[in-house]
Amino acid sequence: MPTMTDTICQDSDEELLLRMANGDEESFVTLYRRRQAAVYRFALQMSGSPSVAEDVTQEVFMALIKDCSGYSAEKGKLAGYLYGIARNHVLRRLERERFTVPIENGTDDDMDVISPVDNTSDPLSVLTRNETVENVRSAVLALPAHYREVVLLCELHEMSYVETAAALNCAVGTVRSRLHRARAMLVEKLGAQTDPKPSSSSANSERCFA
Amino acid sequence: MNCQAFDNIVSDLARNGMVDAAISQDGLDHASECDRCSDRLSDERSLSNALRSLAETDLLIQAPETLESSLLGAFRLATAEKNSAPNVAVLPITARHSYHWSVAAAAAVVAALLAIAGVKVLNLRSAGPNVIPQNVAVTPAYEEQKEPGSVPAPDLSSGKEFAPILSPTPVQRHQNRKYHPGLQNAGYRPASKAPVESIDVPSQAQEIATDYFPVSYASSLSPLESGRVIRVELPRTALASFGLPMNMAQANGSVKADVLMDDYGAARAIRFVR
Repeated sequence: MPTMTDTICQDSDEELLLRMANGDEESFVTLYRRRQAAVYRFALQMSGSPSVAEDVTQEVFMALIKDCSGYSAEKGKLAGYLYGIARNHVLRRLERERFTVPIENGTDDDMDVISPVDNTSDPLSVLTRNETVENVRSAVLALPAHYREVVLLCELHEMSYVETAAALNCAVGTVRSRLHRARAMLVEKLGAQTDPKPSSSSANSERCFA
Repeated sequence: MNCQAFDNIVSDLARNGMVDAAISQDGLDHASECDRCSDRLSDERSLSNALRSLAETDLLIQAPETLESSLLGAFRLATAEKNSAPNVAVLPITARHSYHWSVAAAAAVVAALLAIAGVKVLNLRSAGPNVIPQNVAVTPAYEEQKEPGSVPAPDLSSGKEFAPILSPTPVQRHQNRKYHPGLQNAGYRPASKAPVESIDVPSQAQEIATDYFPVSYASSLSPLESGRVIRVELPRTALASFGLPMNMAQANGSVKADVLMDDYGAARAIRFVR
């Protein structure tokens, strides 16, 4: 016999949100557990800081608790709405902390949190894969924020152009062009890391467009 | 297809995105003929693989578990606040930042007019039979700036949940408070001029309360500058959430609490009242 939780887990985000608005605690917990990882991951990938990611995740769900009427199903899925709130909070934090220098060196902590998955027995493969992942992570973090968010949502969070556009409150064409430009920048950065010859990167950027 | 057109679709080709089959085939044909575009496609595919690896690696990342309990506490408070909304008594505790000063000024004028009218009515009544007014509402127009802080948990077990009187309630403070000239506009009159003994506020006047306990998630929020106190009723189990002893025999009952809200509606601190 299915339990109450099992039944609720089948429900859509919107149904859970409706019940949550009526004070159903179980719906809130289900919704939180369903969406917290993606929100936290997005904030972490955007900021590179676990503490910022935690704060942002809290703000996102606090906003939902305080007033979930801000979400309208006509504008897109709830996931996109949550990403949108998270994105605004991250950008605000990044803007606020742009002129501050962290006292502690958070690199080691970040590495602990973002520990690569070890699912291969071959140590060399694991090492190569981890190195690649960290290079890509660094390259993504180095992108300007408006390119980074598009890469994260479209590539890492597997959202469509339409969903991403709804989350970022911009046109689909904007998403498409930003992703295209962001990928070119990533290729250039990663190409420069593997092949540090300056002529190589300049040659890549001067491909024939005839 | 030329290199310019190929460049427009290379990302979608590498991502296996939505590209028309004929266009996709044209692009692949072009890449097989053009070395530079072939390299570009190869780079893009490598990037897609690398991004996929990053996504897989990060897939297990979750928010800290403590966050769920904090948010759950906030949800319970918000729900309790909503449920008790009709009985909510909103007590303004500061007027440091008055964003709607014009509205407040208008309200003060109206309150002053009502007070004058009230005094006239009382005078008229005092001329006739001596009728003691009942259930006169007291406007709790005192100012308070309370910094939430934790205190040692009082012994609240068994029937005597709030044995030590830790602080006077708002009403007690209100009654102990000397007349403040700034409150005149809000319709408040000094005790010597008002029939205090006839005012019917027995339930609140005898209240005792704990000190304020900070809500756990509030520690990461900005310092409290101003806010308001809202009276709510919570399940008695909320006492345990704040480390206070609870009589299990009365676990299904409710307990009154004053929630300190900031200007953005977030609960910052709570105290329990009996």
